[in-house]
Amino acid sequence: METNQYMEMFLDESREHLQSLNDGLLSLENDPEDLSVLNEIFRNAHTLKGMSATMGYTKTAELTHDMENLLDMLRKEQLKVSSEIIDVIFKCVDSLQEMVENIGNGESEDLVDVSDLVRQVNAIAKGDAAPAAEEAEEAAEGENAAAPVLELNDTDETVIREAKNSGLIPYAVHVEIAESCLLKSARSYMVMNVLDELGDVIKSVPPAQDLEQEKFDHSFDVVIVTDAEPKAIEDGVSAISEITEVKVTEITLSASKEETKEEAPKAAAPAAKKAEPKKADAKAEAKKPAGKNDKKAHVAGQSVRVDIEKLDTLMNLVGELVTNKVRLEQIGMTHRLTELTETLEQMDRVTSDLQSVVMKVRMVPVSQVFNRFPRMVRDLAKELNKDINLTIEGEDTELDRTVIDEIGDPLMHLLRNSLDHGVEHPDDREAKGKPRTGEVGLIARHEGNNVVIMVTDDGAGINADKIRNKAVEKGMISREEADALPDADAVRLIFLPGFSTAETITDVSGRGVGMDVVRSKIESLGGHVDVETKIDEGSVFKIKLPLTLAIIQAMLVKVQDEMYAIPLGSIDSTINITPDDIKTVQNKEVIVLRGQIIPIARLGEVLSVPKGADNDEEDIFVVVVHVGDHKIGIVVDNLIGQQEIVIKTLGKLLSGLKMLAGATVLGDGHVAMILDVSALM
Amino acid sequence: MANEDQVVAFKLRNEEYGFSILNVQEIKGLTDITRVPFAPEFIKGVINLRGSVLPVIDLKKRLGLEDTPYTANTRIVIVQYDEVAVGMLVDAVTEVRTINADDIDTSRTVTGNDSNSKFISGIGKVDDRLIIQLNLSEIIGLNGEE
Repeated sequence: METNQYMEMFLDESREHLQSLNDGLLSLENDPEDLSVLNEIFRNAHTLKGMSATMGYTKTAELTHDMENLLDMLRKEQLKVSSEIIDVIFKCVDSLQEMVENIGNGESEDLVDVSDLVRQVNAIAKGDAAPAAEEAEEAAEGENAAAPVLELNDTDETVIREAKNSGLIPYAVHVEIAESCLLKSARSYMVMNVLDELGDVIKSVPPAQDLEQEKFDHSFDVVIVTDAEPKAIEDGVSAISEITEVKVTEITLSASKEETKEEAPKAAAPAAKKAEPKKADAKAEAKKPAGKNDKKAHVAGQSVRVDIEKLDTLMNLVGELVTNKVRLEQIGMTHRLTELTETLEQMDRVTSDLQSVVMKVRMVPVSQVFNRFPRMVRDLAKELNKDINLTIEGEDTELDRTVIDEIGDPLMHLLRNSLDHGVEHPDDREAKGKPRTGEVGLIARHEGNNVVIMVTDDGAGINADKIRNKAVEKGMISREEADALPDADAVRLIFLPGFSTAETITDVSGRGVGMDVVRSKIESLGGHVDVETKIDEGSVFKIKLPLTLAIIQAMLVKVQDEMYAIPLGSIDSTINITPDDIKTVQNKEVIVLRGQIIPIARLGEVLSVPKGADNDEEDIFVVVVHVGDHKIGIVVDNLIGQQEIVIKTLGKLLSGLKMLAGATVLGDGHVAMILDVSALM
Repeated sequence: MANEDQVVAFKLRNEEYGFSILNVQEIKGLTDITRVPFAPEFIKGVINLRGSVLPVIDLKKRLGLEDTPYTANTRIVIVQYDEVAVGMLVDAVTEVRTINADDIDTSRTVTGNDSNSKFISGIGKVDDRLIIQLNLSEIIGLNGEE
């Protein structure tokens, strides 16, 4: 089969659709009445079926087909959405996922046994609505019977929804042309022109090419979004000669399919009731590639897979390009070649754009990892008989791709821990006077030059004494040592290898491999994990990850001849003071800024920068930075300016140096160190 | 052939040293080296090598030799060892030499026994010159001695 070249695409798209299915099912579970979600799910399943059938994966296609039947019945309200049905569909999605992964690994899709599942699906379909099932099947199969009905596919709906959000109203316009008309295409063209002026034409049935080629009878339908009055549309179109009838109806989306049909009764052929408008849609989509892309971006960004190494190489090459450009600039300056300098200015713009694009390519929003957690939490909560509400925040936060790939497992571990050990059983919660539903949060955000990901819960918290006892029992520390530890430190013992506090070992977590694995993984990424906990109020696990290779805004400062970058995120303000403004408190230098006493650190001394000529300048530049609630003023010789920089690691040889968060290559090819402000505190 | 090894020979003060050519990635002229605060003393700083930040080891300092000022011949030899790329600051690169394995003396009596001896893996004799073979893994010091 010549399908190999499509394999990657198939796998990527299948994964995308499966993810959408998961998301859709989750929101359906929360709001079983939401028909639009159901439609979305149905469409996803339908596309998946089509794709796998095309690729020759019959088993995948069959299972999707059965699942689709079930969905269709739900959609047509022949079945009620129940948690059993959703569970079964979830199982189908899981199996499909497994099948797709197997296919991806070059194995057979048959490895996954779905016969039970198929039986279950069919039992639900038949048992509850036996006659309906067949009809549903017919409906799903009857695609080729499609008549050109004004039905909206998901692309259109997305566009309409967006238009509605911006205050425009969608209308279905039904236009009839006189039977005697000789130049139907010309008339239709005029109609389209009028409509185009009034608003945005989203689609037409038949599609525009067919209209142009007179491939229609004497009527056609157009969907338009506009802020014009329906009357204006009607008048505008009727003004064209040989137009016999114009009917304008507003489209309401919730059950758009049914209503549109009713509103455009002349176009609705009887067969259309249960037919999928596959044909019409396909054409309409082909005609509007832009619309299609919009939808893609909306659902899940379209992607190309690229080897990370290639991106690294690309980035380094761009860096080299910039360095060479700077060299050329110098040549242009020394030899006063205006022409060269001017050309280089142009080139400068291109290279800096190029540079920033290449940098951004490597960044991926954490949502890529976070996506899979709602589903996991749901399943786990069910398994544990707990009521859990997962809140996700900051999923747009971007991290370097290599980090993204690695943090999935540790986060999974932490979430499992929170669910299993953190959040109590609903009854226990009630006894404690807490709401029965436990709150678990997954929060990502930038904090200085780090990305912080927090897993929070409002559960039982961690009992420091329990940890102490356990640690002593396991011979990890002595009783005296344990008792001497403050609570906060005692709790951190859970990160030591071989520690598990669960009284009973469940298969969810608590096999004693959890937390130390999390810690070593995070640390291997150059990060840090910490925990804060309060009995009966909950725990917060805080993962701090460096933005290896991330782009940050930084302030460049100069000390003697050395250049340093201070992440803008931790800068409060920059001020200009005179030596007299510096006071001492207990022999430590401080300044008073807006009534607040702020200790200062002279960067030159802190970093033991070799002393050059003493500059007895009156002005002292202070960069006030903060970490948490603490503030400190960094005294520097000069402020160079704000710049976007790429953080590079210093490599194995120089890892773990205090005060340095990495290095960056400046535009002129020089290397500057990036300060880790938190180490100054 | 099997017993021959090619080395990149270079000078530190008035002695000649060598790295196996298999470890040498490239030789660069002197560029700006950015000092790294708190770095071990033998690390001169970092350079920008086509967008990557690379540490540069001051070999003379590493081997306990006295410092000399930069000259027009000063070079940075970029070596690759165990996935780590490092620059080595040397006074001059002399040539690429083929040394017969039989001509390399690796006995302890030759390499000496003081604290710096671990950096030396052997001494090659070529004509009437001596090329001191360096032990890269010790020089880079990834074995956790710091």
